[in-house]
Amino acid sequence: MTVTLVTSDNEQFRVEKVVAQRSVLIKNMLEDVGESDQPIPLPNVTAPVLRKVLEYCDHHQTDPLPTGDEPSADESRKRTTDISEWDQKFITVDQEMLFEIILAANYLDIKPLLDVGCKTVANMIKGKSPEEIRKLFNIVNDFTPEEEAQIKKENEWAEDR
Amino acid sequence: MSDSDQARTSWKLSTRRGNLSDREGTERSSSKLTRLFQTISDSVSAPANSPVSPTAEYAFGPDSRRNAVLLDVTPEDLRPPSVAESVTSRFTLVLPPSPPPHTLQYPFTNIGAQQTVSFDSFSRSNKRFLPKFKTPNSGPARLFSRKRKHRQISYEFDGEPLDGEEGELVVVDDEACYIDNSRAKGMDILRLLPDELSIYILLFVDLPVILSCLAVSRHWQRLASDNVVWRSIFYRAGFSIDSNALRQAGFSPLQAPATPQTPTSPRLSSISKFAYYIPAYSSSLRESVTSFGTAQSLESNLQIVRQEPLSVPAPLSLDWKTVYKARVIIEKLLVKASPTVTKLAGHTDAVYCVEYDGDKIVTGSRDRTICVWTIRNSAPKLKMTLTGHQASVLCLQIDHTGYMVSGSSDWTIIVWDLNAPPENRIVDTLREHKGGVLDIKMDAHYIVSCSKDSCICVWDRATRKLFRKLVGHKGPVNAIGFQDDRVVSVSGDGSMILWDMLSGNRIRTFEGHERGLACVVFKDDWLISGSNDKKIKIWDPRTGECLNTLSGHDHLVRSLSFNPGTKRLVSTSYDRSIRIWDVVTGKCLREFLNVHDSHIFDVVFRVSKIISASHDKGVVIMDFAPSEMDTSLFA
Repeated sequence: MTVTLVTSDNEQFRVEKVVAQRSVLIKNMLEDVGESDQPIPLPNVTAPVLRKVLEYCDHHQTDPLPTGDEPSADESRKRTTDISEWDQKFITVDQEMLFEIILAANYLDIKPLLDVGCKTVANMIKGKSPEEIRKLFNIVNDFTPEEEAQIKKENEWAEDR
Repeated sequence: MSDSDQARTSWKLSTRRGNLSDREGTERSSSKLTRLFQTISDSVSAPANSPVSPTAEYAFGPDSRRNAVLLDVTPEDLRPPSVAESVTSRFTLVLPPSPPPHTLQYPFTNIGAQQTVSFDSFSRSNKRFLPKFKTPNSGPARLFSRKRKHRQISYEFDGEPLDGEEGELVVVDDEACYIDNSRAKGMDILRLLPDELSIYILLFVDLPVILSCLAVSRHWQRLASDNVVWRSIFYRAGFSIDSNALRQAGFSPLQAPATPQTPTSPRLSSISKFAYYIPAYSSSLRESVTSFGTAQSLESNLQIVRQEPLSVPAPLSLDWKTVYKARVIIEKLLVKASPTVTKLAGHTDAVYCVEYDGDKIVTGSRDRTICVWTIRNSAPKLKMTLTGHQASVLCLQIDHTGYMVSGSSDWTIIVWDLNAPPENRIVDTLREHKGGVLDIKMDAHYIVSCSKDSCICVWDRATRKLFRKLVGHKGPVNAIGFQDDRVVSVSGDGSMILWDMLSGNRIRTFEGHERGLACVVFKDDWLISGSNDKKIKIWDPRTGECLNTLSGHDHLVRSLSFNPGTKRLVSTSYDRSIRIWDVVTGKCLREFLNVHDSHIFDVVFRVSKIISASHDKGVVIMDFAPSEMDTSLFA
């Protein structure tokens, strides 16, 4: 059984239902609509991004679906930035695509993909100084020297743990 | 450039435009993105609507001139001095391909000295710009296709300062050159994403990264200051909140108070300085994080299951940065400060055991009594003295519901209800052991006891009937640890066994200590034992492997207390000393000699306090936090 997805740039994708349903948004839509051949419009996703997202969904189509439970304190303690080897390769994209994948995963409600994207950004900033982060993301430092000194002072308690 | 190249370029451009205008009407209105896209698509629309042909006037009309600048990649790098300063670099992300240079109808000549000269004039404004063009066949040039690379482009330059038009021409062309440059690909992802997603990203990182983020830019500072981020940092650091303290202070651990109350009542004041964080923004996220399922079922769950740590995150009405800061300071004081020492005098003989839950200290003694002291927010006060055992009280455990179990050398276990009137405090007496009850542990469902008779008994807490007997040790079982369905037991005969409590089967034994074992803790993945060989050993409960051996005590290691979150272990010994260890490094952080006048029998370590019980009849509280500091919130 297949469904048709239509991107914002009017490209149509015919995909297996089981693949499309990795997206909780699509899954809920299909459940609401019932059996139907109607194409599903995805006005927030462009074709190149959807192609990438579907590649992920296809590879992970047999994974157990995550539960909607709120993470416990214990889980937030154990929250890691480990990414599986396949996902690692999959997410090796430029910043714009990474950004688009995160937005699409959020919009389509694909929690594991959202996590992969967010972990990737987290890994990018890990171990970097503020200046290195600015360089990495092309950020202009909009602090005055006085503000910078103030920030440094405010965080003194946290240094030297 | 060939015709097909041009065709591709124009196709790309129109595709882009399609994206952009489609996006305008989408639901992404909450993010800055929409605004951004709008700006760009507005600016793009003028030239893009006109038929794209090899001679399209990209760079000539006033509109297109604006485009060229708006779509610029790194204006600081590329913009000649004459271009207005108002241009920003934020528009990188939807960069359309620039028109092919020859459509700009500028005369081209062969690469020569001219080029270098022309760009040298830029070098004054920006040095990074220069190398990329001085050596067109190396560096960034490799990123282009072969065809492109061999295309001979140059610009005539008359030596005059560039006028606006020429400046923009260069910008347009440079834009193309920079498209494949990794530096220019940098986009401020955390600024462009909706705040909820940016904050979610920050939940994956630890304190040093957050400190960096605070200093990146104003926007990043705002994100990294969010209360959700600091709560995550708090839990990631391994710290815990005492749900009981929260409840006592009028917080439901599950829901933030609907409206901030003024912290006037004395009960509230104890944590008021941490409380009532006023959300600055993103209140929707806040609500979504704080409402978990049905509050009632979870609440009742909490009542039975665990007193601490909180199994759901504590509410966002706490100011988590302040909470975290206070908790970090306590950890620092623990290794640096000299503690305030308080002695509890009440027992008339050796004190064998001590328990502390943040509210009360309970001690059991050879004088056959159990003393309950209240301590929260005040100097310790003897609240009750319990009699019932016919011999020494050797071990006990409490939970915050007032339920207590104690074991004695009279071979019995007494179940107590501390909240009942004095005549009804003894709920039951459990008789099964044929020797002194040396250690006792409980959770919501089971009570586990071990005895000098070398047996371990598992009792059903609700019915108080014997559930199972674990037999296997050949000597007295001095101590037990237990979590979930696993029991670990250590014996004076030198053996240490991990049991499956439900089946009664032995899972494995642990070999390593040279003498009998006196104490054990079993928390999370940590299994730690103390022995008569003066050593402490850390074991992998899954493999039975000894991971580390901590040496330092001069006599039998009699008791251990461990916080798996902060990875700090406190040990006491017959050598009268108390030591604090970091179990990750295996280093002894501190040693306190002669805290007691005789053997130390038991110790409990919680947040800023180390409480020890000794043969010298005394109980000593070492508190590392200054008296004005409120530590009651922490577990």
